[in-house]
Amino acid sequence: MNLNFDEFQKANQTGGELDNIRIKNFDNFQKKGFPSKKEESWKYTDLKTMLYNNLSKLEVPNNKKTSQCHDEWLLKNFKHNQIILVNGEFVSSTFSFESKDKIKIKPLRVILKDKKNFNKIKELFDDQKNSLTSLNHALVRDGIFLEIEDNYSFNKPLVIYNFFNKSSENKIINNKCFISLGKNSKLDVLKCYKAENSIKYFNNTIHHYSIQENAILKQFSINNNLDNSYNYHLTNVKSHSNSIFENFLFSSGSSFLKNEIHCNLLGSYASCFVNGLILLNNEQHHELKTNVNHRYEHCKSSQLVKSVLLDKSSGTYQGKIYVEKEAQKTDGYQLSRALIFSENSTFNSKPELEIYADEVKCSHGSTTANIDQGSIFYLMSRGLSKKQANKMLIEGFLNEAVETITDINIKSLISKLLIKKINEIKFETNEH
Amino acid sequence: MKQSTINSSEEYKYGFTTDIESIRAPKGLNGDVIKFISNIKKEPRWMLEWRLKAYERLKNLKEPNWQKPKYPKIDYQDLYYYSAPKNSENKPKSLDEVDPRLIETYNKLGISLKEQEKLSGVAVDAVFDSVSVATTFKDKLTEKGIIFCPISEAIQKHPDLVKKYLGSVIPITDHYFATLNSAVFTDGSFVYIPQGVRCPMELSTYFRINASETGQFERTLIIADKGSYVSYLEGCTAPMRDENQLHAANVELVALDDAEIKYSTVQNWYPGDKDGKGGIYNFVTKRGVCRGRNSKISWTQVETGSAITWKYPSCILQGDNSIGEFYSIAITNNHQKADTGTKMIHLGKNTKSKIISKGISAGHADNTYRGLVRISSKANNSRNFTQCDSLLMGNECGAHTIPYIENKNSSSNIEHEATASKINEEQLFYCNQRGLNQEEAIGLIVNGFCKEVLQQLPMEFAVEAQKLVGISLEGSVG
Repeated sequence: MNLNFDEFQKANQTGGELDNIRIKNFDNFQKKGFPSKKEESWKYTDLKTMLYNNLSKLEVPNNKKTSQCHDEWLLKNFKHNQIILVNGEFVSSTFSFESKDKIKIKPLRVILKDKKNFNKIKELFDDQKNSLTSLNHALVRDGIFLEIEDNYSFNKPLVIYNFFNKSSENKIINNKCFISLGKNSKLDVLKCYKAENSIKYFNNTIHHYSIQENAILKQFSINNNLDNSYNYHLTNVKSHSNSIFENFLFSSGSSFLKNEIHCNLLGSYASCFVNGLILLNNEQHHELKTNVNHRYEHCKSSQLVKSVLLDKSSGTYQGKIYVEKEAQKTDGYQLSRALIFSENSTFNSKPELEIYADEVKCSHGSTTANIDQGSIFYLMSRGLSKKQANKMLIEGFLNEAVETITDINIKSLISKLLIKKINEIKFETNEH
Repeated sequence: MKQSTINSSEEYKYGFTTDIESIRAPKGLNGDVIKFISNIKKEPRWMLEWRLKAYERLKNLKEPNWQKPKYPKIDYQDLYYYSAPKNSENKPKSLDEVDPRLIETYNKLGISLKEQEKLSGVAVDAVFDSVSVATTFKDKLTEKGIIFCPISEAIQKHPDLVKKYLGSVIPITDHYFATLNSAVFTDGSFVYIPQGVRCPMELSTYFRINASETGQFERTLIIADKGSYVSYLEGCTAPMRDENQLHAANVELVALDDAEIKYSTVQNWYPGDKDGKGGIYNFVTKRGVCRGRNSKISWTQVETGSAITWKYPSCILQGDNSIGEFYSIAITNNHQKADTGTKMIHLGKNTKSKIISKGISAGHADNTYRGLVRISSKANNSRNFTQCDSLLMGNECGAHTIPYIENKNSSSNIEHEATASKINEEQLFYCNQRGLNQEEAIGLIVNGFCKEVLQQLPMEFAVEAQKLVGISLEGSVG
């Protein structure tokens, strides 16, 4: 692996503070290297070995413009605003359904180069969660900078397309996405991922969401296209009082995907929902790590993760609810349910509660098991084939997570994608 | 929010010291001290070599530091590794020869060795600092072929058994504290139940740390041969001192085909005073292996004492159809900290495990459940059920649940659930209304909360434990 930082640094000099931040962070990264099993939060994912075995030629992308994308990749029959990123670079944005004066959108590269604007996001570079965040700070080149004013509700959802074409092959792509939602505003974000010809790349993205009082941000991350990519998506959320953050994950496509969601509830009556489904086959490895931090009274958080594991795949759920001393009357809930379909699949879960306040209601549950043979028998005795019975039960099982989506249009879109995905899967279940 | 107030009237009942002359090994941890211990115990050469091997390994080991309760660095060179009442060199043949002051000490603790001998019931092995001072009911047990004696005696009299099983569950290559114990362990109990024997009484060991600046390192080894059954109780107390004392014990259980071991602990080491000064560091390694088919190991623990409790009694379910159980109550008050739980490693087919953990946290205490359930790819049709409930009293304390759940087998089921909450106001009101004061009401509710675990204890212990639950929480509500 040769991450030629010096060359990158030369090509991307801004003459400002960022240069030093990059150097400092690259040093931090080099000291630690890619995360391995020795770190508690990477206990079930040895990224170091994984990258070494699969992406040994990983390199930093050069400055060549490579931003072609294909129109057939865009969502049809679904009215939406859009932002297109190709190979991590901001290509275009259209907000045809919205009043444009309420929205401030810029490619992140513009912000990074401009001193005054950079000061706004400078503090985001202080975050040192792990070596990948350091690496992201050092090598970030582009992304999204979106600010929405107070009292503005989006008419249609915003879809952020992340396309990767051939020139991303063996590249490490670092972006940041910054969205700030003003008071009483509302936004739905859908994120779609698509790679050309199953190329291998490593995508390391950090999302920063700031949700002001009474605002509602819903994020739907759809990763359903099978490809050979390796992804680490970190989401940092700051939720102020009375705000709602809703997050849904459709985690099914990439070879490796780790979603890490850190949500800080910074005002009373804020709520956070993290729901998702993990549907894996072949040798896929997906992980969801959450950390919901209750810091004020009367906040609510709820997590529901449903996983289905086939073939040699493995899934991990590491959830954490942290309740500070001041956060009385907290309501925290976590539930992870997994179906292990094959002898070679694995599911690990670590639902964690850390509570320092007494007047709370916190609970979690976690189950892992195979599909209920009684139910299969019931369906087969009514004339369904084994394959149909399996599909039906999996669909019903995963649908419980989809049902948590509160937007009806998005729910039906995701539901359709899920059915399509289930139909693509070959079932070779093992009998015991 | 109600503020916790500390009621100083209830003090640690077992906080007295016994003024008794003792022999100590020189301070510090080195090869010579280990030779001294081995020599005074008249151990055979292989045992000394085993200890030295562990010590060699220890030199390259680092203390683990991933646990939740942090503690100041322990100076291992500033501890006595051996302390024994002076006249114990010529071990008493019967209770009449035991130093009356020791008998008195155990009477004070509520373990009347003489009474126990007369009344049928429990066979007791009393361990005072580094040596076992008395074992009751020897004759009756010998009749059945049961060996129940201090481990130092077993090393001399039953070397084959000790050689075969010692370190087979917790090897000398284990973690820091386990290896430290392997190098310097002083005494403890040895139990062997022969094939097909059902032990007619509860076996019990009482541990007491008396001397200051002493670490207690006992080692217990229990072997249940094919088709046998044994229930073993362990209790512990220590005097009140404002220094922290280290207790690093190892307990190994081996259950062969169709055997069952029931291991109950009521741990009431000195917890330190209300400001968190003093108290025992209880860093114990307990591990049992269900080696045979249809074997069963059941751990029950009531943890009320110690400044820091850090232990995970584990079951390795190796034999097919074997069963592991873990019932735990951990109560922390004032500045006590507990990081406890279990590990259930499913290796054999059709293995089952059950974990019931109740954590109660009051005052400034921190209570953590940390547990691992691992079902390996060959453990077909295995099952686990885990339930961890935490109760919080006051807003200065913490309750944490950190379960690790790993399933590699598609025919196995794992269920886990956990809750954390405070005492239900309505239940309190109901009790108050019927004339119970706040403290009695809490005692009642907490006992109900713990009932599932208390029921698992043998009768004699259950009563004691129930009282202990009440006492530990006294003064935690104002």
